[in-house]
Amino acid sequence: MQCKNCGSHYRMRDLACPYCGTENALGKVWMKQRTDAEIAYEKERIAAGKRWSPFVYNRAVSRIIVVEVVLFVLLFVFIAGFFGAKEAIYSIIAKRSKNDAVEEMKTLMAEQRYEEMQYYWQEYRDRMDESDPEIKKIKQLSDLIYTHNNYVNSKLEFMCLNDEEKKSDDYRLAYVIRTAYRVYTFEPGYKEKMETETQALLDGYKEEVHAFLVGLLKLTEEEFDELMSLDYFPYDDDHWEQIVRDRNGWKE
Amino acid sequence: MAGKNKNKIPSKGTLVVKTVIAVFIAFVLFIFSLTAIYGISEDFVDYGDDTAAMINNCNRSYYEKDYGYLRDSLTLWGLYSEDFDKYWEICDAYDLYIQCFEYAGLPNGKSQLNVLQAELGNMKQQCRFAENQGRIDQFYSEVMELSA
Repeated sequence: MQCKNCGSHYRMRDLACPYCGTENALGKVWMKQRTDAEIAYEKERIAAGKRWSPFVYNRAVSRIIVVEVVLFVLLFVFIAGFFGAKEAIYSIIAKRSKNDAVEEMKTLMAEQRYEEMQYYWQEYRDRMDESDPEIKKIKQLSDLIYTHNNYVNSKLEFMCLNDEEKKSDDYRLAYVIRTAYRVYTFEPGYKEKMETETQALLDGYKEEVHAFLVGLLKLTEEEFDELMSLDYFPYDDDHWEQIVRDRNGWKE
Repeated sequence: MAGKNKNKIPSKGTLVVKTVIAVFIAFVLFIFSLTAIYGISEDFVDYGDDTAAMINNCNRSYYEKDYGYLRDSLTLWGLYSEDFDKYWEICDAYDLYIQCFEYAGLPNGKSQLNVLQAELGNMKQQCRFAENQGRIDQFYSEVMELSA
């Protein structure tokens, strides 16, 4: 500002002109206001005592919350974008791999490599369109192969036991008779007709089961027919296992 | 007056609430980040080839001559590659061996028994794995006694 007395320029905050010493009223007002603010601030600071840090703490926490919210939103957007893109890519890959699997299964079926075909089916069945006639054929064959595999595996497990183990075993014998029953009484699904390939395989498997239960385990033909004519396998009844154990027909 | 609001001491309640909110958001952010990192990293983890582990598993039942469990493992895990041909060979031979005894026990099973004996004979001749040869020879000699 300009001095009214000598015309020199000096800061508004100065209490007097530094050149001629004339008092500066504005400087005095400013100083009073500043002093009042300082006094009030000092009073509150003293009143706060050791709570001086809340001012800094409050500001810091507020800024931290803002940063956290921003980070959360960014992370959410990134993850949504990543997984959204991933799903889109995977659905393309899954569709391609499903088509490859169908072609592979058809090839395996044509080559009569049914074991491998049914394994593919187990892996991909959830993604298959069962209204497709080829897929229906594969499904039916796979179900039969799966049932037959259970039978053969359980049969070999039982036959690997020694004589004493066979007599005392209370699980494997029951299981092999049960799986044999399932193979012999295999039926297609509800309202499905038996496919030609499935029927051909099933006829062969039925002979195997008959040979095992009658030829090796020494059930009579009547007992065999009685077992296979049951509507369902009696899980709680060890009647058939008892007959087999009593006859001890297996080869050690 | 300028600066008056800035000098106002924040109340204890306000500071506590702000602290709780900050801690809660930090915790949620931490859990969210860990879950995201785990989910994303899963796509880049290469679990590697577990063929060696499967072979190890099969060897156990192979040497214990537990062919039922061996075949169960092969079918359960879909082990149809060349690495597992040795195990399939012995399981198939054992299955034929058992079937011979099945048909031998049937009054009219002789023709099928002959077929199975011939099949087992072929397996014996064309055995691909030396470790299986002795066992298949044994199966064959036992089933040939059935027609003696």
